[in-house]
Amino acid sequence: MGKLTVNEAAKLQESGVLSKKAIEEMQEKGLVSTRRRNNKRYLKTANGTYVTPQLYFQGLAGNKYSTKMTELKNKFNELANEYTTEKKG
Amino acid sequence: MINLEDTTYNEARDGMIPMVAGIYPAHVCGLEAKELQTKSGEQTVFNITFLIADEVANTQVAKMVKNGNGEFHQDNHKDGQPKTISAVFMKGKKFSSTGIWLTPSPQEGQGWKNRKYKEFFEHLGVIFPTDKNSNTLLAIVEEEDIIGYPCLIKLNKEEYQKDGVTRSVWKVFDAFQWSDGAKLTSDEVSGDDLPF
Repeated sequence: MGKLTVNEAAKLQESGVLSKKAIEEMQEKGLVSTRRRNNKRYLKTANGTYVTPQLYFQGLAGNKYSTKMTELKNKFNELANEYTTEKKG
Repeated sequence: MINLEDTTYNEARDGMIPMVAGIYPAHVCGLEAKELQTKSGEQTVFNITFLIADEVANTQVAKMVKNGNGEFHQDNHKDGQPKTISAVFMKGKKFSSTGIWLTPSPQEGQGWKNRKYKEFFEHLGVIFPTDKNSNTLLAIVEEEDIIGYPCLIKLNKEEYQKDGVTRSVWKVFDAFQWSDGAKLTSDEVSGDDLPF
């Protein structure tokens, strides 16, 4: 079974359906994601097709991000944003 | 043709409002269980019915309009930002869940068949007891256990084939306990307000 994304929970909070406390409780129970998913970004290959760069921490296996990992992820996203676009083309 | 005054039709303004996949506040309003003899032995399939809550009026959904082919697509503002509308039109609608299967006394290595059953009802707020080895002791959930429960449902289209044609039906694929919602009585969610 899935869980609510951070964006879905935020929209429900904006509309007054969910309180901040309820979202925190749902996150503790694993019903709401704790990380925001970025929009997919694209980069053109030499053959004209599109690819999406991704950062992957092999061996994470459910462990929490460290400060250094978050720092790397943020720097990676900045770099990826520099080279990619939100839309193909 | 005889011209009419003040009588215009605009698809974006007056067109049918289609339902949109998403998360909606709701209450459990029914549960049906059917026992079936399958290849895996005796199984029970549960279908839970949900009633969209009044609070849906406060939420916004994407505004969809028909294009030239009669298909719905997202309506955008001139600057490309998506238009949204109140989801009040969803209030009071009922939707069924996809089938939730329970396999009583599963064979060795077949316990995974009850994972969806356990997780679906636990997400709804049902608490199954555990034994001293931390095994979850599954039990048959009855309508009275969950009727009126406030929850957030994940609504989407389920596609199926009939007579060689792909058709679709709106189904609840997941449900989450809505701790800010109020539990309703079975009378409040039954919808049987007949005037006689």
